[in-house]
Amino acid sequence: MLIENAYTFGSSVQLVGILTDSTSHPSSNDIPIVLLLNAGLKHRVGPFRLHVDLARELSGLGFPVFRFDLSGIGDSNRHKDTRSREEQVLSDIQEAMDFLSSRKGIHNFVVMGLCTGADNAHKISVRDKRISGAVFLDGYCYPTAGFYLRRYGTKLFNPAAWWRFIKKMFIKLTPDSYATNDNREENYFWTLPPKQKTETELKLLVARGVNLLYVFSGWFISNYKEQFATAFKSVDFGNQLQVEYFRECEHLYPVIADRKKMIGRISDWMKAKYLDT
Amino acid sequence: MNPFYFGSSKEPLFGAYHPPMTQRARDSAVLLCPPLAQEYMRTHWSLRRLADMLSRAGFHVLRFDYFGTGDSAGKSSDGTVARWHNDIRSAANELLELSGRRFLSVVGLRAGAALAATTEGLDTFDFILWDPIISGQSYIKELRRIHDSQLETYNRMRHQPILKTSNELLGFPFPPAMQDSIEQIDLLSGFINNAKNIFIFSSGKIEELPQLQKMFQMRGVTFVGKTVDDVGDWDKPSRLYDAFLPNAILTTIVNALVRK
Repeated sequence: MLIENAYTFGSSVQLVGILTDSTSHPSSNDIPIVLLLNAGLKHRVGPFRLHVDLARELSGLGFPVFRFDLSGIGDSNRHKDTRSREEQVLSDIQEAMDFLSSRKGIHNFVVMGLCTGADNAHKISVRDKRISGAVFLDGYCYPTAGFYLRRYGTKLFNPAAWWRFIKKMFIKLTPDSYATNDNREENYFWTLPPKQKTETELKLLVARGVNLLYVFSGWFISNYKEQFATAFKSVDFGNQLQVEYFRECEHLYPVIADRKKMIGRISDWMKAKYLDT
Repeated sequence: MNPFYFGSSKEPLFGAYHPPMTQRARDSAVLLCPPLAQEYMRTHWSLRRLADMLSRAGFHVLRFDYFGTGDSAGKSSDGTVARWHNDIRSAANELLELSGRRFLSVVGLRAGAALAATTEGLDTFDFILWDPIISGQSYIKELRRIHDSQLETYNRMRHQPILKTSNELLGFPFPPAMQDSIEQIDLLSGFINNAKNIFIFSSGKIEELPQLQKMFQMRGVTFVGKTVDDVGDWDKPSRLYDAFLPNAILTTIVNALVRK
């Protein structure tokens, strides 16, 4: 049976999270707690309730799952200190881990996130040794020769593609007709770090034994399945890396069948990495 | 703010209780009824902000998620209007118990307004309908129109097109039982909430406003209808995933409840 409880935690501001737990599976440090990080400004429920579905699915397998709001997002309060946003976010995630460790006696975590959630998942994995696995939904990826070939190769001789390009350039030059009053950009956008930095950090994660699952949709920065491995040829991932590419799926998985497929793939990976062994 | 679960232990509902932040609490407690599906996602932050504003104005406030939505129990496909009516009654009772108040005020946004208007036995003092859905049929039709336009966009990128299905709208399941129950909603004939004071605040024109006003007059209810220059754009696919950050309409709601 699944049980969900709401908690507040955090030493400087109140953060809010929901722990989904199964009464039929005993706690053990071999079974990590899954942390679901906010996707952009969307609160802990996730786009189209993705985090709730994912939490209940993984919890059914025996993994406790904690979906929570970073400071300033959803129901969590904003920090009023002068730290960088990155520092605030990483300390929020570490406070979540401290809170869960003290409640459940588990010091083993898998972190998952989509978009900015994947960005934050990478950063916390590098910083905190309690992370034993990470799932990145449209996380870091870098263009390769194969990427450019697929992206532009067929378009060079296509008049319709040229016309679309000209129209796009024209729209870019006209003023924004509907300016947003959303100024919380740091939560909404992320910048791809230099490739060299990511490569060094990935080597560090592999050396630490962190399991990595990258899931790419066809609508973001990856356009073929091997792109990630090709971009990081110099990293020997051994059996710690799995890459999934859902060419047809949109970045936020707004189609129910696509979402189910993605959740199924994550569940299979969690089972293979933490239960079957 | 205190997050908690309430209602049946098998199918608990998620609630976020905002106690008053003033020394002396006001006489009525305010229940916020959220919209459904993608509109629920889009408006979460604005309802949290409204709850904060009301709590600073001295109200006990409860936000909550209906069964099968947000953090509450249930699959997204399992809700029906009858179930959500029960949830509103259950949340209202929870709020009155938590706050120790006798008077209940309700703010409903979009489908939340329609659900609260059609809930039996909800003894309401002030009832604010914010950009309310008036007709369930028109609402479903509108969702379908936006859904179809989104599908066209998605299908341009796919080798295998997503086929139109009647059971899915804008990323959320809408099985027949749920759709049928929503389509039964018609505020012109089914407005049974017996509030003493009714306010309709909208970001755009509501065609049915004169008929509603006439109906409230006949019932002897105090009624204020007002268009507020603020964000809405419920019918624009391009705004579907954008943050919804209203301002003027939140102040209008708070002012109405504190009688400024």
